[in-house]
Amino acid sequence: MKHVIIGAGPAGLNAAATLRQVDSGGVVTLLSGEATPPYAKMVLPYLLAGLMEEKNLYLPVPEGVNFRIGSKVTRINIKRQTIETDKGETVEYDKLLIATGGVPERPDIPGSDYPFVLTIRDLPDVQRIQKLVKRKKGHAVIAGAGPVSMETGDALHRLGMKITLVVTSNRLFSTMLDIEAAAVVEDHLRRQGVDILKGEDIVRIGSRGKVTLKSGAALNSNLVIFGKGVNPCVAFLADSGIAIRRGIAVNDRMETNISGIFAAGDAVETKDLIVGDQRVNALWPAAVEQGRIAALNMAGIEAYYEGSLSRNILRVFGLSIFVAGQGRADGPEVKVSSGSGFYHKMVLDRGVLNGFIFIGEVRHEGLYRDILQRQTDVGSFADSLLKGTFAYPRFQRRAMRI
Amino acid sequence: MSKMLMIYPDRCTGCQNCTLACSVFHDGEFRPHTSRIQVTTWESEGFSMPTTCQQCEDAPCVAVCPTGAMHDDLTMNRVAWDEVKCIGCRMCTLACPFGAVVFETGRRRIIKCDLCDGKPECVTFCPAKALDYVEETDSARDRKKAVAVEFKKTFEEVK
Amino acid sequence: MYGWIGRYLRIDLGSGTVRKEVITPDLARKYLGGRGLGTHFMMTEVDPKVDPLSPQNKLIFAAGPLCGTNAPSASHYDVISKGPLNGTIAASSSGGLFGPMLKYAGYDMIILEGKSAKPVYLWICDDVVEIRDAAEIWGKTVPETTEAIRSATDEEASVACIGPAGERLVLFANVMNECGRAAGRSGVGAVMGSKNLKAIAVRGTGAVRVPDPKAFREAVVKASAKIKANSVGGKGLKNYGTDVLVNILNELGGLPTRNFLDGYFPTADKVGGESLAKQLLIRPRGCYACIISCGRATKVTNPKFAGQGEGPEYETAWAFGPDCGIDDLDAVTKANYICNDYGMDTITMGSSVACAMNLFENGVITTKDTDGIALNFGDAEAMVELVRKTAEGEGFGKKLALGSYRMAESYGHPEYSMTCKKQEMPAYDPRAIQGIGLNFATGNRGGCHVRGYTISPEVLGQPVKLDPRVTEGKPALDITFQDLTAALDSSGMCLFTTFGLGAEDLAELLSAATGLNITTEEFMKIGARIWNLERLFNLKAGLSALDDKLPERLTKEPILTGPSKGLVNRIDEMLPEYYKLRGWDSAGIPTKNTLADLGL
Repeated sequence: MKHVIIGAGPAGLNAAATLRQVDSGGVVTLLSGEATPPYAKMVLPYLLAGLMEEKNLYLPVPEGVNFRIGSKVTRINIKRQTIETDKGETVEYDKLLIATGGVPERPDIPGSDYPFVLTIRDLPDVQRIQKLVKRKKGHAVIAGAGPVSMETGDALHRLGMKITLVVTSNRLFSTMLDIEAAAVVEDHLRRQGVDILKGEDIVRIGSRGKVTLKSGAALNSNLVIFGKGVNPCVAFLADSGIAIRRGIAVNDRMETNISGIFAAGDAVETKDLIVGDQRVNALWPAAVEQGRIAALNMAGIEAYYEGSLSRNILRVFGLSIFVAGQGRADGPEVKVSSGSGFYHKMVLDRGVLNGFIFIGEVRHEGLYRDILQRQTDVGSFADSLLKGTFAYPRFQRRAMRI
Repeated sequence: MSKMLMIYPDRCTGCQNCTLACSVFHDGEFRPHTSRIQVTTWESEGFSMPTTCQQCEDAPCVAVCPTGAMHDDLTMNRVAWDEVKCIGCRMCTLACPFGAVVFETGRRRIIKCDLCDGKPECVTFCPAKALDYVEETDSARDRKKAVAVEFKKTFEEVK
Repeated sequence: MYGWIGRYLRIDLGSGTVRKEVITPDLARKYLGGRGLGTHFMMTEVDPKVDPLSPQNKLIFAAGPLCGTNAPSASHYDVISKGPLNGTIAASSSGGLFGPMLKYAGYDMIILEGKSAKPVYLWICDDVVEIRDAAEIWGKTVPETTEAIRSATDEEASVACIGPAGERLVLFANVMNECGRAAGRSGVGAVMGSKNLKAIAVRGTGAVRVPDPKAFREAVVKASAKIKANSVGGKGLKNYGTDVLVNILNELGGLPTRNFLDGYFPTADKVGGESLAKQLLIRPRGCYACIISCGRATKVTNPKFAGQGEGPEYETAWAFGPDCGIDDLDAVTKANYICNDYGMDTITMGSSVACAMNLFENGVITTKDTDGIALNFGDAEAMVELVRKTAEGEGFGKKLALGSYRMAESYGHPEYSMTCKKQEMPAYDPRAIQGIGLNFATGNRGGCHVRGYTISPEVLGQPVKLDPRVTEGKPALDITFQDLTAALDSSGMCLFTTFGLGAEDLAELLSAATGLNITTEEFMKIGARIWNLERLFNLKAGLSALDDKLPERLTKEPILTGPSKGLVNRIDEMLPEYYKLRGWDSAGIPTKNTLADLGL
């Protein structure tokens, strides 16, 4: 059996490892469009911040996997069961996994192609930024206030740059936080010296770094970073016959509408566990699991993906932010506990969690995630849960009675 | 032959000598808050249960680690954590449903049971033999399963 | 500082102010912690003549330097105050998690002053200290309070609280922590109730440090091995709990029976530790850091007395059992559960019931006084009912809530109260065991066995066997035990570690924890200092040598049956020598030289 995997991100790498475990007779080919060994994209802001060394960046390719570097796939021929790369190679497959991830959105505005205007998606982006960083001085303007732009801002802040966030909406982390939670984060960031311009957009960038905003205001910058979200990397599939909505459409076995072709990771749409609809939940742990499920099915072992739980945990500017599910919702039932530097919110429906937001210290995050994911009845101990320190033994004490 | 940690909740007196021994061994101070093993007590029922990392095979914390810092250490039959490679992203803590992997913000490190590199202090200091470190034989594995089943039964019978 | 945190909380409940103050290294070394340090602050800050239940009295919770380490069974903290049961200096020790937690939160001690205008509880989480409204938990039992406060604060919190008995100022109300651990005697729970303070909940995430963890580990391993090798500390207490003593004392003829009318109870075995282990024990329990596990998780299924919880331990089994002429273990255990839930001292409660039974059988009181209940020795149901009435504050229970002395006195017969300094004696008959009699009589908080447990040598042969019937050498023995215990209480250790450890071992552990070179001599001198300081407090409170006595029954009415038949206590042979060896004058007042030598 010839297994071909496009993309060496978390979904692709885990799929490759799983295939080697469960189908040792098969041939596994892993294609990466990048010029380096595999690495985790989510660590790039940490690399930029100096919290890890580049030598620790690279991940091992699972043993026995045929790994091809710098092979960007340009086309899939589903009739012949082949793929073609930009190097002119043709690779045959019996089972194919598309795990191409996402591409950052970059607005088409005057000046967005200057070398000091960047997005963050892969290692070369970070290497370019590293060259542009003015340690202990300089000013970075960051468009967007989602996880990646905030982590990047945090990294540059650590390196001593002045940070200005330009945010289209009325708050930070608009896809993760409600107004109140965002205000806690905003307050924290301002005290760290970060400028936050809400309801603004960058409309033009000058060759010397002058950034002009929608309101007409202008800023001088050494570095402009766009972190305005990521879209599934599916352009090359346009005429392939593979069904695409916002992302690649897959069933619960991670198979596309074309038999034998699977997809996983940031490029696909899956069921959202809490809302129930199909959406792109571009999340590292989800990609890991999807890659594994896809691989099992590719090897002929039935496995089902129950859906994605939107979740995020990050620490920016010294503040921990932990969200999952529909934490932004304002009903049916909401419990909030807040104070200086912390904001805890849980959204419940008849004793079952729909989502939560925890700003500030929280412990045992996995337990919270698990309780939400399993839709455990927490009615009798919701107040204890809200404190953010609930531990597994206590959970047993509460959820079960001797 | 590799070894594994056995927990017998029925023998536990709730004395927490394990958490004390754990914290002082790892951090040189008595700070049970950072103990890798935790004990919960049901006072009115007179029941206590130690919990710690299960050193899972196919551990979720290992699967999601983006740097390989959290990894299988087959020689010691454990899930090990490499401080140098860890970036503190908390994917592992988010993955573990037992909360057995904890991120300590202050020191930017992961707190998790490392079996004291093969000589668990919690076992040494347990006065009730509620903790044991035994050869991982089939019968030991069966016993561990039996204890888990027994424990679940304790809960569910009267539920 | 090592061992100590070096910081304490001073909280004025009247004004709601919270201050964090420093303990100097000199003061710490002089009094260690717990009982010693608390008594020092009581002596310097409180007029010993103060009404114990007035806002001018203070209430101190203090842990010792070994608390929070893994020194074997080092979990003890003391609640120090002027006790309302008898007006002496009260220091009640308790194990569990509270003391260590307090230190992890960053405090060796809490001094509570004044009185809150309304019911409150304290919530201490590291640096955060809050005085919170307790309106909704006032009136709740100990388990209910513990549960409610944990829900409102933190699931991991240790909760020390009073039950309804403390709220109602029952004079022997205690402070309970972790539901089953008690700072039991002298009525410190009533002081807490008088201050409108329902509970202290504490959660700490900090550390207790020792100078050299490896060296400390060695000291701990060595000490633990000694305790484990000891027949009592290593096996007896774990297998049978302290209740193992019932049969031992009965075989000696030193088990006070029917309000000390006798010293032998033929069916005592039915309430002994062996029966307990066979019938009710679920499993042994240990306090924090404990290697002994004398705690008893028990369950009574007999529908008449059904329940589940902690206990009984020996004194409790005796007080509700033989002292009331009762051999029904289910009833005894039920009475224990009620005391735990409502927060009352089991010794004083049981003895007061025994006293009432004695008064009833002798016709001093009748069913008119007792809400129609016939109070005959041996009536288990009546005993449990009286405990319930006291807990609920009903009818005759209000009389019992005063303790046996005030109750008997109110009927004109205080001599029926088996008390020293108005506090009930525990389960060792001074007629059969001379040394313990002297200890009861000289006890700084009145009748009490944990101020100088001479039972160790006199009965158990620990560390050496002494004849219980002789008075010779007993004053010196008492002094040694009293001083050792005072220092041990102040260090944070559990008294039961002395089944295996001596002063030199304790001094070694203390030195390893603090980094100071505390010799055996210094350790014992600290104990003597604390004992004398307590004595000074009591003298200033108005007590005198006249109070260093046993009830007449013990010196004049011999034991009726059993191996010690015919014996009485001969305290007069011991007391003068005791004063002399203490360095006190014939009026029981410490001489100037004695005080100077002790740095007082």
